[in-house]
Amino acid sequence: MTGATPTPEAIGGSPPTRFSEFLPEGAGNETGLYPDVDVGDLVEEGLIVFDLDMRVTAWNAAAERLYGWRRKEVIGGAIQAAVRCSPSEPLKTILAIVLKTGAWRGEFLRTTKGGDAIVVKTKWSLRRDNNGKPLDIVETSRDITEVRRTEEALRQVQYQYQNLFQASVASFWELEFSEVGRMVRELLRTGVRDLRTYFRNNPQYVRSLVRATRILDVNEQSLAMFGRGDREELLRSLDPLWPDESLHVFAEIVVAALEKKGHYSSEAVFLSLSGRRFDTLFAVSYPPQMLESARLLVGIVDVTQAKAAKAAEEKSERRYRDLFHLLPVPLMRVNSKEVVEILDRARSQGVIDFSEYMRENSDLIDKCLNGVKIVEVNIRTVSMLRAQSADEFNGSVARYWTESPEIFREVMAARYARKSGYEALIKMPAHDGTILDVLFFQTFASITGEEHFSVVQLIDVSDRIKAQENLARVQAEIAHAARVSVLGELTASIAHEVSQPLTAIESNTQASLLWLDRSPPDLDEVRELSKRTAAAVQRAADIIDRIRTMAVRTAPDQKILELNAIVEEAMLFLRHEIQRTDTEVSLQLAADLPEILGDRVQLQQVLVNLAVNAIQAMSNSANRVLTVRTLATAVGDVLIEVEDTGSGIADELVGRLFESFFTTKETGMGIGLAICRSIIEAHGGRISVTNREDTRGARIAVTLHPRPLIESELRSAT
Amino acid sequence: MKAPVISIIDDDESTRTALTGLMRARGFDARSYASAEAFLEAGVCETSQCIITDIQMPGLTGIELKHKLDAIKCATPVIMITARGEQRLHNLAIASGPFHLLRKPFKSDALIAWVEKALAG
Repeated sequence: MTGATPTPEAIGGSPPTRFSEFLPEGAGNETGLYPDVDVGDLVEEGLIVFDLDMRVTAWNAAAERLYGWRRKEVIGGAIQAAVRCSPSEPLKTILAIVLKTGAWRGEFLRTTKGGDAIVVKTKWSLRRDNNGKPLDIVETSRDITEVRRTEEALRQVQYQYQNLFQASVASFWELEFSEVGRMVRELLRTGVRDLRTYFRNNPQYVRSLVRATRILDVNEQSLAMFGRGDREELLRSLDPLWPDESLHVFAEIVVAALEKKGHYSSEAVFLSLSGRRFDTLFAVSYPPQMLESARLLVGIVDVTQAKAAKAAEEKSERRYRDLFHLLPVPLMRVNSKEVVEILDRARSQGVIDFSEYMRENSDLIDKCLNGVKIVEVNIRTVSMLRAQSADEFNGSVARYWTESPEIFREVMAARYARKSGYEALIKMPAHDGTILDVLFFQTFASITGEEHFSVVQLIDVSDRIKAQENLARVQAEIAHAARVSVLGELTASIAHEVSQPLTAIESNTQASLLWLDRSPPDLDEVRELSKRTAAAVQRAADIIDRIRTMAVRTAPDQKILELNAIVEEAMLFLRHEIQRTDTEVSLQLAADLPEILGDRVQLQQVLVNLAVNAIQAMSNSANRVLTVRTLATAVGDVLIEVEDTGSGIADELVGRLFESFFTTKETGMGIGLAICRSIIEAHGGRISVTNREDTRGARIAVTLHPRPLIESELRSAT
Repeated sequence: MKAPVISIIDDDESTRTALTGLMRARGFDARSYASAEAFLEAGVCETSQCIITDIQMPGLTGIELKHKLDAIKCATPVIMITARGEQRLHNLAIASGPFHLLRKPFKSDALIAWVEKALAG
């Protein structure tokens, strides 16, 4: 009662008051039969009287019990000091009501002498003197703290069991784990300190914990996901639903409970009773009131069925809203009214292909982006997008699509095509500017009257994607390092091998000159030296041949191959290199290409080599397009063309490209293309290079023969 | 005057023969050995005026040979030749204190010039 205390002038002056004065009329005060105090103390409710200066004039025994203050401590003092009150309405308003109507009823949140908060249900009654002048106020109050507490508990129960439990698209299990608690306590008693490690090393123990966990209750969704129609069948041990591959997750649940975490969430695989496997996102919450009775609540979202989230919309708004804020996944509710109108207009104009329509009307995409308004977000979304509070989410969703506008186009097209939803992996800027990799799911509502609203589910997968990228980069670096080291070895050994005959040739020639300079010249020595020189030259040639065969390694395998598959595999192999160099790839693969006979690995090496050369040739080009094309020629051969948009090849060099040790690269060995030619020739094919006529750049063409028909095919062909 | 004795040690036959032929054509008394061990067994350290040795050989390497010669206090100048390009190997070779180190392929003129320098002391 601070700040709102009325001034005496506002209420009027007042004389001191005695209990006897406000006892019920004819209660005997005039006769003096009842001493003041006794009468007040007979009342079970707290009875307080205060004058219009708000000074306490009476305080009964029940008030002493309720507030903890003795009568003598409060009489004459301010009422607000004694009850430390938070009124539900401004005091001025309450007093005005009392003065006008003579009474007020309501609730106060008050604080006792001991500091406990209590809720009291109160009635104030105004007493007037014989002239009708306001005299003082009689308050009767009753402690309803427990009632409120019970109501709150009841509300919580309803919250958990009615709203959350049944309304949700998620599967919810209520688990009973008193036996697990007993087992773990036993384990701790035997001296185990690090439960995590122990669980990791003893999966069979974790399995016994799973077996000891009972399912107390499941919601309808659980029955649909995991059951076989009979609820009772599910209400047994958790064992059959929990596969070995998720045992570590169960271990984490136990550890999180012991660490008194409020909740724990993870990805996990579950099994249905009929053996179906689910990839899920799931969360365990440990409400304190449930933990006391050794129960916990597990919520499971089948990620594979995330699109089925629209079932939630069939539930009541309130239930839906509870679910929205409770689900352990980031959710955003959007109003797409303006977009729906745009789509309806397009429909009325007979637009078939909405993607095409958006391309023709360039301002449409912005209209659509600005037309999707955020209605609300749950707390998970706030934290995932690194905002301070849900208040930061207002206006349209445009700011979240700056990194993936093309996917937004597809979302619109899907909506136009009346798909039930859309999912994609997108790049999404968080509020602090970080770009996140986010799995985006949107469900387009189909409930009458709710067409404008839809729910967006977001899952941050940045860490996983970053980890994948790191792994890919490390792998590429290792592979590169290995190649460099092998090449270094190769270079050194080639240099060593070749320098031996060269030294011999040089020495022999010099020696021959010395013998010729003698008089008379010793022609026999010169003849002998010339023979040796010829042998050394032959040796150098042999070395080069050997290197080439070494690189090609073995005779090619003779397998039936589909060239397109080989091209695609080679591109997969180069994915990192292509990304790193920001090269655009155009694959033009002919359908119905004849099969060929050959060595998959060697042909892949050729393609990778040609593509790497092409990528390197474009390193200084602004426009980097790598084209790989396959087609069948008029005579039935298979042609692969690898084109780049580099600076092309100087005419005088075109004929020399496939020679061993010929290179235009500063750090090149001049072996790659020579090996490519060896491989292709070993396959009975041809390889050639030209400059492109359509644009700047080079084209390498590889021709291979189709595989011969096998006998059965020959028979059926004739 | 007796022709100076030049000992040539190289496991590569074509190089060995070529260098021996070169030294003979230049008028030296060239002797060839296929390994450092064979050279040491022949006991011609003191009678050789110059030793030309390859570095990378099976068995004792040219560098180990130089250490052995130092150990028996043979002061005959050693010219090392190698086809390997690694800097580490060159550093090791130089550290063993040869008269000179030549990298293959080298000009025969250069080798002859270094041999003559070694003979002149």
